Amino acid sequence: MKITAQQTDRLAAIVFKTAGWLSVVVLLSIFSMLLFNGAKAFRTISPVDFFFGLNWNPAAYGQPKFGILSLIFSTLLVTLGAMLIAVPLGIGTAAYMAVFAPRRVYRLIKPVIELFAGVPSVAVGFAGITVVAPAIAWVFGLNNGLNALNGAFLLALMSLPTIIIVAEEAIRAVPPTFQEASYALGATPQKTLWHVTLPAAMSGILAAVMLGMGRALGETMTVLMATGNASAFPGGFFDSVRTMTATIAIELGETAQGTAHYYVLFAVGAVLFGISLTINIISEKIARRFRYKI
Amino acid sequence: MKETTQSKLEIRNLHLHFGKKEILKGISLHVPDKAITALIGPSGCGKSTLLRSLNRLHDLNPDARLKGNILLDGKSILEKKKDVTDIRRRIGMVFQKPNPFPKTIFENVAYGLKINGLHHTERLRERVEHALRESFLWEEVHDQLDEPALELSGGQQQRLCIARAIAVEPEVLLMDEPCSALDPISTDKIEHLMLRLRERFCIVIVTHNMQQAQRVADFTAFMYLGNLIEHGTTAEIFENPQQELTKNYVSGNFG
Amino acid sequence: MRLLMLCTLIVLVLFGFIFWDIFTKGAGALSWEFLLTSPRKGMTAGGILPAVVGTVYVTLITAVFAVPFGVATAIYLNEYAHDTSGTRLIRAAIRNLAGVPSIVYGLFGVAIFVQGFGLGASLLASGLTLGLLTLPYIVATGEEALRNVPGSHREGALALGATHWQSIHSVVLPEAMPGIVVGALLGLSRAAGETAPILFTGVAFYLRYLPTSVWDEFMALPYHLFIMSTQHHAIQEVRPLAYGTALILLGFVLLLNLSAFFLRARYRKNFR
Repeated sequence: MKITAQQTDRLAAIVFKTAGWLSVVVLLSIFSMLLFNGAKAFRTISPVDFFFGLNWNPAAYGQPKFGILSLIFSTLLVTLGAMLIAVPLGIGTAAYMAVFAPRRVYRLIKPVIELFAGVPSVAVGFAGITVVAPAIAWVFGLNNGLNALNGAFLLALMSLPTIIIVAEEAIRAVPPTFQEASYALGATPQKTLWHVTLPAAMSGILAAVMLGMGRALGETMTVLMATGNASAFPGGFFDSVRTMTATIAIELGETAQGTAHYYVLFAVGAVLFGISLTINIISEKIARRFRYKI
Repeated sequence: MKETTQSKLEIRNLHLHFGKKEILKGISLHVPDKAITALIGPSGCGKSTLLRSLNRLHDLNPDARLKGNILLDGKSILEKKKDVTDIRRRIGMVFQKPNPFPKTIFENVAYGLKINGLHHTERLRERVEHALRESFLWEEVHDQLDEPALELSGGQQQRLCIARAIAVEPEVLLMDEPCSALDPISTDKIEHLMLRLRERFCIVIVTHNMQQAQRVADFTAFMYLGNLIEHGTTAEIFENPQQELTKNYVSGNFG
Repeated sequence: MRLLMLCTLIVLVLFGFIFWDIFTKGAGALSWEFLLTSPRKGMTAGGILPAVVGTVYVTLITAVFAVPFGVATAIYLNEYAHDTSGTRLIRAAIRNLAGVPSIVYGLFGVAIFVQGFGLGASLLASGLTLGLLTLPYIVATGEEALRNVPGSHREGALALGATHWQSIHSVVLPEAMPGIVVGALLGLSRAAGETAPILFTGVAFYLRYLPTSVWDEFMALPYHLFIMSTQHHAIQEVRPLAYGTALILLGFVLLLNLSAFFLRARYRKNFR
């Protein structure tokens, strides 16, 4: 009897160790595969043309153009636009929830936000087509609203739950003694929030913003459905844009395996991976500092 | 006062390193059977660390290195090939904070029996009842055996942990400041319990509370900075210490 | 204060409006026929049964792959691996992979599962791709659940003579289980709603038959919604069907979410 328990114990250790390392290997292979396939693109295309080319036109007769800059710029345009909308709204909501909301109200708001975090991006894109785009077209007098502004607005919606949930946690983590000290000096709740609570929670809030940004940056379906996908270099928020994610989604299905175009899409994926990794690492660094402080 | 008792546990020149730091600096100690030995000393002197070595709980820490030897009935318990689970079953342990599992009262006491292969329902019931009676807990909980253990009070939880430990009928019972998280009344109950369990087990208790050591312990060992300074009957240590350091500590000059 | 309430109100109105829009307009399209039949007449009529079935199948395959592996990895990291620079690196890798855009997993799925392993565009390839996407999430939430089990419970079991595995199996896992299940449900709900990773690994525009094996292509709710709202030849005409699809998709995903929330709430109450 006892011997079996020992053997089971040893077997379990082996099983879990194998599983652990296997999933690590699998996950790391994603990274290497991207780099490997992406690198193959540069057998036919010069890296200068890829990284500094303004034109993305893989179908151009005889002379396809694979300049990633217009894609990167489109991605940045919608992502930053989204942040302009989501950051003030998100932090405001988080501050309200963490500091002012009565318990009853809080119990009503929190589940709505958590649920919205679970809404699939394709459903948000659908709302973009049916509701937001017509509204934008109407407000600004455009033919249609499938443009960068629409994408930015929808990505703002998608990143809001992340920003709100993480920022609220950061604000709650500020020790109440800070606020009590401020109140004891006769400061109003508003003054306390602006001058004590929010500054103390700043790095956590920044981490929230970075996480939200990472989410917006990597969104595929929402921008694919709602931004019109013109591959020209965008001039502004009213232009139709095509982000890196949407480009991969649109073109991977139409390219034959092994062609330059196919590998270029992996290179785009690798760039996207690199950007989101950078954002993740930065937000983690910020969040760690915040944890040490409190 | 108990010169005739034979030693159950024997610690021989035990050194323990955590990484580069030496926590135990060559401890030698005889622990007699059917008696209570108290380990006292200021915080950080290594008394809890020594206690955990006796249960080989440092096996979990990859940085920990043990040198020297610990003998149970004259046989080493530190040999790698020795079955550590068997040693831990023979040497039970009660922790500083009550740590019942989030299971029912019955399941907590039955746990050690089940993992050792006892699944016969009737036998389990008997053993659980026996252990609970031994721990003076049966009267209080016999009609709520299927309630969560976490609903008991702190003192009851600690007695439950003692019941859980003695249910597997160990030979040695290690107690790491078992009353430090409890109120005086619960402490009193546990001390009574210890005095009764002494008749059956070899008990080693770590305590901060010198009155407690005097109330329950037959022998006392005083530790300081990883060294065993002095060891003797409790009366000797408290009334007639040989070392200046011991004298200062037991008279409350530091610690 | 007023400003903050305004922010909150705007957010709630926006979220609420999207829910409301889909629920009210989608409800109009609902019928047994919609749920239980295949699309007809060039997808301008009929139901979405193949898409519902496909989404359920692919989510199940995802679960079969990601849950055991994810939980086992979490157990390894939290219960077996010592805190070395190696395990810290593994943890960092897993955390960061949880933030990788889903389309990148799609690329990987195409290159490795569809082409590399020769699985072709199939339920299996899509399930594996979604499994990879979910894996880091399940590992992270599983580890958190395991970390919340007090170390004193592990020691308590070991001190009674339990083997390492016995202490995990009979004390640690039962305690961590609600947290692990919540994490798995949330991870799977995310997988069920994803489109980008299945786009090139197995999902089909229209299929006359339900999939009969893991080697078949399949229809899926998120992709069907994408098709009905952007790629269909008569987009305005099929808008009610698209709303119905959106409602069913949202319902499926939110049901998984809600059951996770419910479980979490009950579990917290039990512990206080």
